[in-house]
Amino acid sequence: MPRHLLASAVAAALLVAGSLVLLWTPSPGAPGNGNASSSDQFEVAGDGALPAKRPPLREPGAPLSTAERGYAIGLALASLPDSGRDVLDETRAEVLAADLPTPDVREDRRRVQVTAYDYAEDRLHQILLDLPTGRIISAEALTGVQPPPSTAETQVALDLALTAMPTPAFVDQFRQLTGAPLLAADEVRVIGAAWAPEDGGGSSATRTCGTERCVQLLVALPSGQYLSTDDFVVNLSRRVVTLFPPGGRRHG
Amino acid sequence: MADPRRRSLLTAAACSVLLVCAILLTGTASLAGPARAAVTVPAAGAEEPDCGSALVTRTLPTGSAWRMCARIHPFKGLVLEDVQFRSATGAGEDEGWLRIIGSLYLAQLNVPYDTGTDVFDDITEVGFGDDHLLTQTPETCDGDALPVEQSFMIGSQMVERTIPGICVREAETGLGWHSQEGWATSSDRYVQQGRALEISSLSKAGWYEYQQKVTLTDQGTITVGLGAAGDLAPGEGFFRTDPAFGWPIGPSEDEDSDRHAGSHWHNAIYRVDFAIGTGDQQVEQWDYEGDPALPTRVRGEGTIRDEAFIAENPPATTWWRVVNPGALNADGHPRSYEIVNDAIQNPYLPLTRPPLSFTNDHPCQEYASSNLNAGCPGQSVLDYVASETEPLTDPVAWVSVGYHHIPRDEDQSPMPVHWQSFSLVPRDLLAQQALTPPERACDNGITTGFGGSCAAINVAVPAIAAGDSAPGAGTLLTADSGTWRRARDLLAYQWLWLRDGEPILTTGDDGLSTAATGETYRLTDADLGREITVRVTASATGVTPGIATSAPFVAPLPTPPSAGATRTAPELKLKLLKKRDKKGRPRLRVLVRGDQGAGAGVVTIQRRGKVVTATLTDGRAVVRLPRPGKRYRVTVTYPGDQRYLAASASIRVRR
Repeated sequence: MPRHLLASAVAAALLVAGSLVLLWTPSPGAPGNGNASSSDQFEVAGDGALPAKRPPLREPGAPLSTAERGYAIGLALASLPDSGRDVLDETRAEVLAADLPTPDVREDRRRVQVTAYDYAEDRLHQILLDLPTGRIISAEALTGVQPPPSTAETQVALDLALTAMPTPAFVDQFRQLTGAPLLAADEVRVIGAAWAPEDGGGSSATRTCGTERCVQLLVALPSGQYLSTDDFVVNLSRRVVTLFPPGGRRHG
Repeated sequence: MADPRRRSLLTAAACSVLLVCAILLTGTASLAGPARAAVTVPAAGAEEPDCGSALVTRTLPTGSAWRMCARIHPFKGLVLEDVQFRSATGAGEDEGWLRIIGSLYLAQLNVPYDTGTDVFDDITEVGFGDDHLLTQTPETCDGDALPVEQSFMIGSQMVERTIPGICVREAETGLGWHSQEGWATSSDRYVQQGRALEISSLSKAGWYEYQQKVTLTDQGTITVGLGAAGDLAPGEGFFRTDPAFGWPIGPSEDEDSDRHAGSHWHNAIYRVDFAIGTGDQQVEQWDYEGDPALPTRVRGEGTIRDEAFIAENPPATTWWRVVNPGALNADGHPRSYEIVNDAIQNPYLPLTRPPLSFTNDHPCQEYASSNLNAGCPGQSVLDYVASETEPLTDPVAWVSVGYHHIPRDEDQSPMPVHWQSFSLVPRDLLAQQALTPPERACDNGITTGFGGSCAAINVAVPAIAAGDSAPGAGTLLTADSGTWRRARDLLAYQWLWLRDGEPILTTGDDGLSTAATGETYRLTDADLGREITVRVTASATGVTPGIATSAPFVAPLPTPPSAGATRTAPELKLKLLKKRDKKGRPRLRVLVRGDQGAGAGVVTIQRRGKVVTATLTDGRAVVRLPRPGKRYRVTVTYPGDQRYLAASASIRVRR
C-alpha cells in the first residue's frame, strides 16, 4: 500500500470520534492539564494539540502531567529537522516515549527525556529538556537502537500484515476459528514488540532489522485466544512483511 | 565493648527514682509501661522525597514505616525512587528516616524459548507502561489503588488516561519475632506477628501478564518479586513436537500432537541504585573456606571490591553487601544492606548467568541489555562492567533473577502466578532490630545471660481492698502492686493515690502538703462519691520503669435524711445463678427492691478484703466472682439513698 494511503487508513482506524480504538486498552480526555479521565480508555487530551506555552510544573520527581509531557514533546520535535517522518509518514518524528530521566540527570529540576524515531533517516533521537527554561540540555541521534513500538507503529504493522501477500498464517487461522475472514484490524487485539535478529542471526530479508525498525506482533481474538504469529515480522522502515518458511527460525 | 546505649540506659535507670518522684508530685506522666512498638518521633533524618503525587508514606501497625516515590515508567513499569525506612524503636542515630535506595526497577526481562527460535526482551522491546499497564480493581488490589496519569502521542495528537495503576496494601508476614525464656509454657514469652507494605502493578506484555511487586517489611527487608500469569504461548509456534523443549499439556491425542507448551526462561535483571546514607559506599564480598582437616571449621573473609565486577560462578556460600563506612548505626557499625539472591539463573547466557554484577551509577546505563539510552546505546551489563574505569564508590547492583518455566497441565488459562524474587536485607542498618520490644531493649548485641524483662511490664493492674465493713470516711484502703512481668532485677514499687485522677494531697502537722503514697490510704469525707485509684510505679536498676493504675473505687456518699420523707428498709436479695460464665466463674445476681420501687446507685461487693463496685440497673446487677479454690463468703452492701436505708447481705460461694 502506498505510504500516504496507509497513513490515512491508520489514522482513521486509530482515532474514531476522538477516541483511540484497538490494541489492548483502547481509548478517551479532558484538557491536558493533569485532569485526565478516570476511564481506563485513552482519550484525546483536550483538542489533542501540544501545548505551546509552558504549563504549571510539578515537583521534580512527580509523574508528568499530560500538559508537561506535551510541552516537552513539542520542544523536542521543534528541535529536530523538518525532514523527519513518523510512522504515518507525517512530517514529524515518531514519538516513542517522554518521561522523567533518572534522578541524577534531573538534578532536582523538572526535566524530561523525549525519545523519537525519524523514519526518514532511520535514526533514533533522544533529547533531554529542562522544562523551567525550555532549554535542551542534550540531544543525541543514533542508529541501531529500537525501543518498544508506539501504539501507532503497532497499528501500522498490523495493517501491513493484514494486507501482505502472501498473508501470514494468523489470517487463515482467524478464518478457521471464527468462520469469517479477517478484514479489519479492529477484529483482533494486538501487542507489538520491537524486533531484531539475535547476534549473527537473521535471513537476508531480516538482517537489516535493528538498523531499520521492525516489529513482531502478538495477535489474539477478542476472546483472548492467541493466534500464531511467529511466521513473520514487519519492517516498518521498508513497509514490508517478511514471512519465514514453515518451521523456519526467526533468529536462525 | 563500650556500649553507649547501655550507658544511657543505666543513666536513665539511675534517674528513675527522680522520675518516680516527678510522677508522684505532678501526676502528669502517662500511664502503663513502655508502649510496645511505639512510633518514635522522627529525629533529623533523610529529607522527604520531592515527588508530589508519587509519594507513598505508610506506617505499619507494628510501628515501622516506609516512604518512597512510586510511579510507572513507559518501558520499565513500576519504578521506586528514594526509598526510606524508619524503624519503630530505633534510638539515637537510628531514629528517624534512613535513606536506603536511590532507585529500583526491572531493567530487563529476557524471555528466550528453549527451542531457540524466539526471544523476547519484554522491557526494551514491549514495555510495561503506557497501554500495557493494567487497571487495578478491588479484585486485584484490596488496599489503596493509586491513580496513574498516562499520556502519549498518536500521530499528531496527545491521548491520555488516569487509571488506578499502583496497588499499595499491607500484608501479614507471619511470626515476626519469638523468644521464650525457659522451657515451661508458663515462662516469659516474647512474640509478635510481622507486617509488610506491598507496592505492585500489573502489566500485559503479550500472552504473559506480570505483577511487579515490592514487599517492604517492618524489619527493613525489601523483597523484589516478579509474578508471571496470563496464558502460555500458543503451542504451534513454540514447541513443535519435540518433548526435549517443552511439556505436553491438555488431552493426550497422539504422538504427533501439537498440544504442547514450550519451555522458556524468565530472566529478570533488576537495577538497584543504593543510597545508604550519604557519601561513598562500598561493595564487600564475603567468601568462606572449609578446613579439610576439620570440616566443621569454616573461615570467612570479607574483601572490599573496589572495581566494577561480574560475580561469575561464585560459590553458593559467597555473599555481598553494600556498606557505607561513613554512616554508622547507634552501635558505631557501618550501615549496610545484604543482597540475598536465592533464585536460579539461566546459565546458558553470559548476561543472565552471574547472580550479581556491580557498576557505579551512570545515568546512561539504564537497562540491563539492549540499552535504550543514547548515552550508552545497545549496551548491556557486560559492557558496563568492562568500561568502568573509576573505583567502585557509588554502587549499582544488577541482580539476575531467573525462572525456568517448564509448563505443566495446571498452567492452563488463567495461569496460576509463578514467582521469582530476591531480597535486600538490612545488615547493621540499626543497632538493634527495628521492632525491639521494651522487654529486650537492654539486650543489645549478644544476650547478657540475664533472664527477665528490660522494662517493667504490667500484666494485671493493682487492686484496692477496703475490708469487710461498708466503706465510708475512715475506711482504710489497701492496694497491692498488681502483677508484673519478671524483670532483670527485683522490682520495687511506689504507690500514689489519686482522687478523680489527681494526686491526693494531705496536710501534715508541719502544714506542708504531701502526696498520699504507700500501700494504704484512709478515706476522708472528701473522697466519698469520688473515684479513688492507685497508681503503681515499678522500677529497678537497669530496668525501664513502668506504671499501672487500678480500677476506680467509689465510696458512696452518705445520704442525708430527706425532709418530709420516710426512708424504708429495702429488700437486698443475693442469688448465685446456676449457669456460670465460660470460664466457670460464679455469677452473683444482686437485687435491691422495696416499697418505693427499685433501688438505684451502686452496691459494693467485698470478698476477703477486696472490694469491687457494681451499678444497679432497675435495681439489678450481675457480678462475676472469682472461681473458688475453696469456699468463700461475699458481702454485698447497699449504701441506701433518699428513699431507702442502707442494707447488707452475705452469701457463701462453694467450689
